[in-house]
Amino acid sequence: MEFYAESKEISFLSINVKFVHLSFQIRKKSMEEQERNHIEEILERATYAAAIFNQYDQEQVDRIVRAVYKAALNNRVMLAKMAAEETQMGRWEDKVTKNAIAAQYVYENLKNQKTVGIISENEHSGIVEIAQPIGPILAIIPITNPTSTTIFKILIALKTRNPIIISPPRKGANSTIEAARICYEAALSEEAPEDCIQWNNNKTREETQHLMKHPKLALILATGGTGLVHEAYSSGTPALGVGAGNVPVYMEKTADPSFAVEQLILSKTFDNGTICASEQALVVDKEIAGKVKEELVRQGAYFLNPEETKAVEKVAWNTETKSMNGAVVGQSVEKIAAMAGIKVPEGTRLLMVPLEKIGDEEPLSSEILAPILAYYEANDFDDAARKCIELNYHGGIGHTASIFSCDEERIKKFSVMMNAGRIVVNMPSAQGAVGSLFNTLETSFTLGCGTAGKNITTDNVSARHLLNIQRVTRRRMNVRMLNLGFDIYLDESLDADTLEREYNKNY
Amino acid sequence: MNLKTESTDELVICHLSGRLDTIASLELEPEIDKITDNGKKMEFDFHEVDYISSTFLRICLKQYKTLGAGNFWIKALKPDIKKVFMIAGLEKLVKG
Repeated sequence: MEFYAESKEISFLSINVKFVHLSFQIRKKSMEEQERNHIEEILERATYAAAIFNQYDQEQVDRIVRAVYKAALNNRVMLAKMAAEETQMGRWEDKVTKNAIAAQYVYENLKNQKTVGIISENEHSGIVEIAQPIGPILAIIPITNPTSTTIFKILIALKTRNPIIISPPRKGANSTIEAARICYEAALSEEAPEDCIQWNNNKTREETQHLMKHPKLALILATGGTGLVHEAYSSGTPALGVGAGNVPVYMEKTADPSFAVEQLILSKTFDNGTICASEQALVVDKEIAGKVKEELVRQGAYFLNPEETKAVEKVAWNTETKSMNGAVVGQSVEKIAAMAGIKVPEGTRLLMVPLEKIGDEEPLSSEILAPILAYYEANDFDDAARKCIELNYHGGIGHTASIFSCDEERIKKFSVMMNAGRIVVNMPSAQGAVGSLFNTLETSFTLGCGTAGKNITTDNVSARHLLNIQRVTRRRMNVRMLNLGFDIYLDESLDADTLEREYNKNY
Repeated sequence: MNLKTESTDELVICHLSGRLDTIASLELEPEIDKITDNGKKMEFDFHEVDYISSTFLRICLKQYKTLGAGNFWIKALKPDIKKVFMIAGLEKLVKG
């Protein structure tokens, strides 16, 4: 009897658990359904926008792009302050610069580009190129550059007549959406298609995954963490993404220490180190190491001792994920020092970490998007190159490498050895890699890292990557083919050398 | 106005013309609404339409939803406009 009562109780409990489980399942299902409907609606709207956009000529497109660029530039300060406050990362003043680059420099790159209809005609080759839009683009926005990346991606999408869906970072959603909203209003003022810019707020990770896989989506522009970029590439939808960086900067013995250090600090401290192309480790030739160290200290760097290094490592490195700790990303030296419980001289701009080894055993030889820089000395060029290759291959292949030198031969030798989409020479790496400011690279907030970074390109991604180029080809007969014919290949006695000679015969 | 209509017992034909941009579409919408919902089928004759805006695309969708499949269609589209409906995945609205 007792047993009976107990089993009844158990059975009641089990029914109760089952009921809770069932109602949880139903709720989960209805949420999933809601998410799917939401995604369908977003993509349907984007597809309609793509259809309308297809009718626009170059002049209309350029008017829209100009209106958007002006609106973004006019709001650069407000958006920067909003992003800095919301994400608690970086410096708002530097975010203003980023917004200005994303608006003005990107616009200057784009404004004279032909992106609609026939974009080139070559009478000699008989090739005519026609630019076609690709369709709805999903833009993943990183927390480190929320408003600037949004402005950049919107401009290149609109220039190519592609609707864009902005997927904001969770902690930077408000500023990202505000940037997108400002751009959208400006675009509509020039009669851009409705829904040419949309944003997907309050999304779950699953929702983003569903969006990425949607058959109506043409492309994913993935700028963000490795996990997200990997998901984009695995979605089955074409994707243009970025890879992680671990940028080595080599100060070769012919470099000017004062200039090189000034440029390095300008880059590494910019927005408290949030740009993935910023330097992560400095390798200096011993012959100039004394002068470089002197300059570093004079210009606001502070060399940590071994105890201080351990303390900084504890706060900058997440031992579980084996990657940088998000809490230090984009933080000031002052804040990082306080977190680590160390004292640094007032006005310190950069924490230098002298290290011997490179790799997992030395966490601070990895990418840390903060004003923390590993420091190595090299006996000679080969030693420096070995160290830079190791750093390059320690989590940063395909991204960016930097060198300061006045020796052309060594610059070339170093560049060939690096596995990097960009090798920046005698310039701040962060600003150099972004393009247009210190060189003639295309301005971009999405830096391709090649196959090494699991990307399809090493280019600075820009508008030309968002077009399908159709080639119309006219008859231009190959004279060699006419003279040689194809019957000659039927004669098995003719070897490759003979055929090559025949092919290249001077008729 | 970019609209002329002709009507039979069962069908209203809307002959549209020119650029159906946002402003023109907003002007046309109440006119089209007025002649809808009288139990008749409706045809949009597009043979003189050079451009359609998002707003007019929305009007087409609204008509399709209100009147139902088989009771609303668009006819005689220029190739550029036909492509718009193909890209949008709205071939179901197009007849011929």
